[in-house]
Amino acid sequence: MDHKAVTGQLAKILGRDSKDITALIDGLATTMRDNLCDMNTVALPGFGEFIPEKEDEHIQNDLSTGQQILIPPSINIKFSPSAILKRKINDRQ
Amino acid sequence: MNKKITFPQLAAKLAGLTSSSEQTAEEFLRELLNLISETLSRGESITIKGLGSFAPGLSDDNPVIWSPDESLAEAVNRPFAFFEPVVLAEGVNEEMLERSYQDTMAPEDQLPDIPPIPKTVMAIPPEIPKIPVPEHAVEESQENVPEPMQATESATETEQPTEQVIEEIPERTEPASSEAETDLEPILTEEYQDYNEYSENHKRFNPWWAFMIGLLSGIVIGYFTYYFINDSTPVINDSEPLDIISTSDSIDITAVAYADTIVTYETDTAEIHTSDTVITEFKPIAIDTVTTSRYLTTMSRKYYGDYRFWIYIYLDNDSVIKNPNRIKPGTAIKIPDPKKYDIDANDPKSVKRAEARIAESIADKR
Repeated sequence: MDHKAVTGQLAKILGRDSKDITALIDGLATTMRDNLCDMNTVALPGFGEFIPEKEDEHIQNDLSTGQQILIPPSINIKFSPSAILKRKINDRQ
Repeated sequence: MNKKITFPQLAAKLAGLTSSSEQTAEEFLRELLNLISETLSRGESITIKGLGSFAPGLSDDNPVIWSPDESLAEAVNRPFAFFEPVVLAEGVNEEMLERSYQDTMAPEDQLPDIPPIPKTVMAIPPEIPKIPVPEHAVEESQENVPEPMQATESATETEQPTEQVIEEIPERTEPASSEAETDLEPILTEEYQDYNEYSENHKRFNPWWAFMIGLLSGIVIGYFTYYFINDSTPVINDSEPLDIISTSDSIDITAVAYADTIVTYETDTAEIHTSDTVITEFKPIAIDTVTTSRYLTTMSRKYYGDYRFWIYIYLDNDSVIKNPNRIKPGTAIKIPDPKKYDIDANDPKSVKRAEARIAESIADKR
C-alpha cells in the first residue's frame, strides 16, 4: 500500500478531506523526526516503539577486497513491535 | 534527550503542529496505526511518506521490518553528515586509532585557552600538594627544616620518594614552609585565580572604550572638516575669466550694498618734482571689496571696460592677493589708475599686453 492509497483510505475512514489527511501525515512525520533527532523514544501503545540508537565509530572488513574501512558513527532508528502487534500479525498468518 | 514520548504527548504535539484539536489528532493516529497493523497482518507492506515503510517479517520473533524514510534517516544523522567511511592502511587496528586519538587530545591541546602561569607561581609546581606524602614524614620535615642535619637523619629513616619531597618543600615554599602542607594549594590557586581574573578583565571587550574612541575620532574629523570647509569655500576661483564674465553679466555691479565700500579718488595724477627727475605717482581710482559675486575680472570689466585687465589689478594688489585664483571675500582691492598700465579697452595693443602679462603670470606660477 503506497502513500496515496493510505491517504485515501484514512480520508474515507475519518470522513475528512485528503488534504487534511496529508497535512496530518506530514505533521506526524515532522513530530516523529523532531523527537527522534532529540534521541527520544516514541512509544505507541499497542503498536510499538521507535528507538534511536547511536552506533559508534568502528572498523569493518570488506570481504570482497580485504580492505579495512573505518565506518563513521551513526544513529539508527529501530522499530520494536509491541506484543499486541506481533500477536496480531502472527495469528492472521 | 532520551525521553519516552507517549501516545498523548505525540498527539498533543501533532495537534499543535497542524492546528487541529487533540481529539482529531488522537483519532487520526489511532486509525493510522490500525491501518498499518491491518495491512501487515494481511501480509502486505505499507509506505508512509516521511515516516518509512513497514513490511512483514520472515520470523515470528521479528514480524515487522521497518525501514525509515530517507529524509528521516538523513535528519537524524545530520550531526555525522560530514563524516565519510575511510579506507584504512594495512595493519591499522582500533587500538592504534585509539592511541593516536589520545595523542592528539593531549592535556595541553585540551586546554588551549589557559594562559601561561606567571613565573612567581611557576616556582610552586602544581603537583607538589598532590604528592602522597605520609603524615609523619611531613611533620618531621616541618620540625626539622631549620636544622638540616636532623632533617637528613630523619630522611634516612623514610623511603626514597618521601626523602625528595622533604628536601624540596623547604626550598620551593619558603614563605609557606611554616604552615601546613595544605596551605600550598591556596597560594597557588589564589595567585592563579587572580591572574586569570586579571587576564580575563583585560581581554574583555569594553563597549565604552569603543564608544569613547568613536566619539573622539568623530570630533577630530569634524574639526578638520569644518576647518577645511571654512578655509576653502569662501575662496573664489578667478582662473577662468570666461566663466566669470558669464556670471558678471548677471551681477548688478552698481549695487547699493557695495556703494559704501567704494572710495573714489581723484583721477588726476600727482607729479612730484625732484631736482633732476620727475616721478609720476598714480593714485588708485577706487577701493573695492571682493565678494562672492565680485571678482577681479568683474572689477576690471567695471573700471576698465574689459575683463582681461584683471592682471593689473592683481599686480597692483599683490601684497594682499597671494593667489589670484583664491581670493577671500572681504579683501579690499585698490583699483589702479588705468594710466599706470596704459589700460585702454579700445586699444587692441593694450588688450594684447594684458593677455601677455596674464600668460607671464601663469608661466611664473608654474
